[in-house]
Amino acid sequence: MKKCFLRLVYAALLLLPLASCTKEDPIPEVTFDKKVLIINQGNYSEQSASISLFDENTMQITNRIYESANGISIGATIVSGVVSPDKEAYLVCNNPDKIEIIEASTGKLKNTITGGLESPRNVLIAGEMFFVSNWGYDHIVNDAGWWEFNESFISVYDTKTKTLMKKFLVGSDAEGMALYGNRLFVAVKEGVKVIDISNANFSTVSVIRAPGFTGGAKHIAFDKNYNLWVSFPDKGLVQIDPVSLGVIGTVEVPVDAMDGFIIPDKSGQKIFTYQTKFNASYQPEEASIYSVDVTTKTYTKFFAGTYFYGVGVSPSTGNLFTAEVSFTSNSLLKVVGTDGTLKTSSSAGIGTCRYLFF
Amino acid sequence: MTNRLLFSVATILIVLGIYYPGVSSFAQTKDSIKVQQSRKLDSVIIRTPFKRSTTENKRFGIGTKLVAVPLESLAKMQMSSLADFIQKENAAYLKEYGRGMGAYISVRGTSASHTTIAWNGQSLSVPTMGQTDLSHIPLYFFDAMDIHIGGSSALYGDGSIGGSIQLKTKPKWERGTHGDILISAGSFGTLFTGGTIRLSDNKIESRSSVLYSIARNNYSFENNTKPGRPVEYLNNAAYNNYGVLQELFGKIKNGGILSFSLLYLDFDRQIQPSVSLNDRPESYASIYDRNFKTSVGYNNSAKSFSYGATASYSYDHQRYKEDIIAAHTFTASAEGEYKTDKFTLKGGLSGTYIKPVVHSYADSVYEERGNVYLLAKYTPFIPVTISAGLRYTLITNSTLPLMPSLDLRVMLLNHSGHTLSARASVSRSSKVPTLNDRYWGGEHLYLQSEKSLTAEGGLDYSWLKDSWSAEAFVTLYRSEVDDWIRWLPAGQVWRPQNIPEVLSHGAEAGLKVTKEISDFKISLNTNYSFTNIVTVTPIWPEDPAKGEQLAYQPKHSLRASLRADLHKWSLYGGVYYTGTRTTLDIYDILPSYILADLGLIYKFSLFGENFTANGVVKNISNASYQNVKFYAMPGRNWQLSLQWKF
Repeated sequence: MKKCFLRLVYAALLLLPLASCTKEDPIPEVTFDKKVLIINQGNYSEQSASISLFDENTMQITNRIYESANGISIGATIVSGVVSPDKEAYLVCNNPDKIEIIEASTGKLKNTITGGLESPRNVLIAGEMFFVSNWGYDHIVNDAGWWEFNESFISVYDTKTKTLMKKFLVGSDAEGMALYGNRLFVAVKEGVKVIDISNANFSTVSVIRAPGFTGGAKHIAFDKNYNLWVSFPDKGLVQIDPVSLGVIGTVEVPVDAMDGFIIPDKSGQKIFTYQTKFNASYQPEEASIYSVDVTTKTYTKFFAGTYFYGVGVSPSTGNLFTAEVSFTSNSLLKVVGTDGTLKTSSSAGIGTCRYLFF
Repeated sequence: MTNRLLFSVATILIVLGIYYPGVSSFAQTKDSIKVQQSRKLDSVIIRTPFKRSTTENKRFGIGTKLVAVPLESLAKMQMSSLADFIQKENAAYLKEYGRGMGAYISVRGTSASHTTIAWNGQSLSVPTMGQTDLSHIPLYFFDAMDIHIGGSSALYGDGSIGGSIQLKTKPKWERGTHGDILISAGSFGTLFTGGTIRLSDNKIESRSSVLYSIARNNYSFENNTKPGRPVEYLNNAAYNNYGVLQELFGKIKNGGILSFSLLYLDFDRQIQPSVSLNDRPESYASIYDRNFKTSVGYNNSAKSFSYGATASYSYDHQRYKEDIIAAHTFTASAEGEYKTDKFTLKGGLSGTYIKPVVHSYADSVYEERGNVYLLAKYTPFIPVTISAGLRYTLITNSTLPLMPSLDLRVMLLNHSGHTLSARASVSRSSKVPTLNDRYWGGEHLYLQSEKSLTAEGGLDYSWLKDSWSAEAFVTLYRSEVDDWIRWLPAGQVWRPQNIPEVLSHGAEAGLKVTKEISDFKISLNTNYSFTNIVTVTPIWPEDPAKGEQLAYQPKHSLRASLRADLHKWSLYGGVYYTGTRTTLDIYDILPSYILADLGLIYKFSLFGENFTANGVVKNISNASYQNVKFYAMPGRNWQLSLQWKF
């Protein structure tokens, strides 16, 4: 059981945000080279995304590997990504919308997907298919003055041919995804939408929302017991049983309103969340990474800084990765040990946000 | 009759290139101390009995570098924008988002909003955004220009941290009907048509100008975001604009001059996509600008005292998709000057009311400004001139410190055709946060005004011997800018913040050499700037960019031009070097590039009328480059123009 879980955790971390798995049918074990592709989202108007490569063996960073490998620039922002079992990184780009598929170890461009994408957010690889959540281009303005992308959808692609197979609507502001058996869980404004992907209709099974949890869902992670944890930036985290689709518990813990990204630790016993606070003059005041115990449902502050915009955990070392960011300057990558102490820091690109381990 | 005679004589002197000893007639004449000015005879310094205005504020900036651009220098680029001119003629950096697209000047590494740009004293910047798009300013309408490097808020008001560009129109007082028609055509569907007519009876002068220009801008470029860097044709980069300028000048019985000006510019411009969005029609957009400016003024003088008053109104309107950013600006100002042989004292005051019309501002937002300044210049003995200035501004919902300046110029050598002057200046300048800074999406009244302390010094040298003449200058400067405003992310929104300290220091140098033999004249003009601008104290102490050169600030910039005139022919060319620079990412280094132009001018008469034909090939090496990353710039292209002057 433990072996199955560890493989699940490893694979889940590898296939960010998460991959398909059940207790009975875990995905194959994968090996890691202790390398980290670091996504620097870039400034939206400057389309200045870049990719850095961090080696946990040497603790050294190499910036702008995409440009070095290909002689061209990405020319977009990268909002998320995932590394496939064969060590290809799928980079989800906005402005323009595309998915760049690169060789993770070198940054060499292998393929570009442009069809079926409208403000894509996250990608989930599941064997012969992969899913991409899209906000869509249509929007309404809610009472608070924020845009809501009310025609969000999932694009389904053939993993082998990279061709678009299908698109289906899922609600508003589609973001993170997870797959458990034949059920695709999608974080949307309405809650967690559960889609049955075993039939061609991709019908909705349920929409899950914990009582008292307002606002939209953002991201999803598995814990050591294969339960889902979903971030709701307005309130905290919700624990869901992926089989019964019931809410098991909730934790009111700070979650970043902008991003809402969460990630389990190496063992799946903790879920990391983070939040950056701004003062009345809109200056970042304090950024904190919180560690939520999935058993006791309590949380502690794990690491602090000024302005965080993402978090990652190495499946090889358990090291936590985050960065001090500014979208008008370079980020400062911070690698934190399992005991919460800073191990090293390095200059990275603009808006460092995601960490893809392979 | 006397006036007409004066002009005739002056014109003849200019055409024949006759000078007082020690001074040459370069395309851009360096402003210099009074002694030097008195030796120079060109269109800039001709004295006429019509002068009824106070001394221009630039005359008090004796310790700083001033480039006075006369009409003759503007002539060959009249179909172009101010952006094109700066890009060719000045080493200040211009950030360009494509041909004819947004172009913003950076003087000594400062931002576009740190350089004031005005027309006859009326600001051309949009008050909501606080900066001027130089591609929106057609050279055709203007008669002269001063580029004041380094600037000074004491002279030009808040905002002059990096520099100041003062555009001018003025009456010619030439009796009768004069004017010109200019037509121009070039690559990428570029067409320009302009017409000007001046009517004068020597008491009243009317100047009317219109222009219309269009471009398709469908040029090819190398796409550096696609494998293999394929060559594509640019989409969605067309523009068309038209403009009207009407001015009236009248001499009234007491010797004063009454003036009225009206300027209207209309731009309908597609927004050039980045190369990675060139094939994404869903991302295409356009922007539509209208700028209306009008003013009425009165100037007079009596013995040692000169005075003037101006009232002006402007309306700036920009529409992007469904968003409108507009503002009404009302200004009234008055100034007076007392002048003796050795001493000049000038003072002024002004009041401004701005009412923005912006959906992201609260309806109650407005701005009132009150301005008072005092400038003085004193020449205790011939080699030494001292000047000082002080300005104070009161403004709604913000504060500005006192803005003083102190300048010194000393002539070190004036012998055997050689003149050498040393100059020095120290000034404190400031800039109030723009309306967008303070009110876009809420009230951001926590913002501090941007402040700079600038010290600079330099040498000016000129030499004249027989048919040779030369001018050279070198300037060293240090400018500390505190509370520089930048927009930064604050969760789901972006908000302006003050960067504690930015330091700019560097050097500027220029050399002009002219040789004349009979009807043949050849001149070389070079300008170089070294700019080192870094964030000393960032908002966030661990910022990796601390101590690094700011984004889009080349350390090295060089402009060199050569012109040869023989009879009715002129051959001209230029080489323009822009050094490496980074984007916001300090590891993202943009390559340097060199552009070169070559042009030919032919002046001829037909049916008794005077014509000038001008042809130029730009970027003759067909260099592929991007000034701003991902924004394609044109390869080799041409432009032909024909001007009829009557």
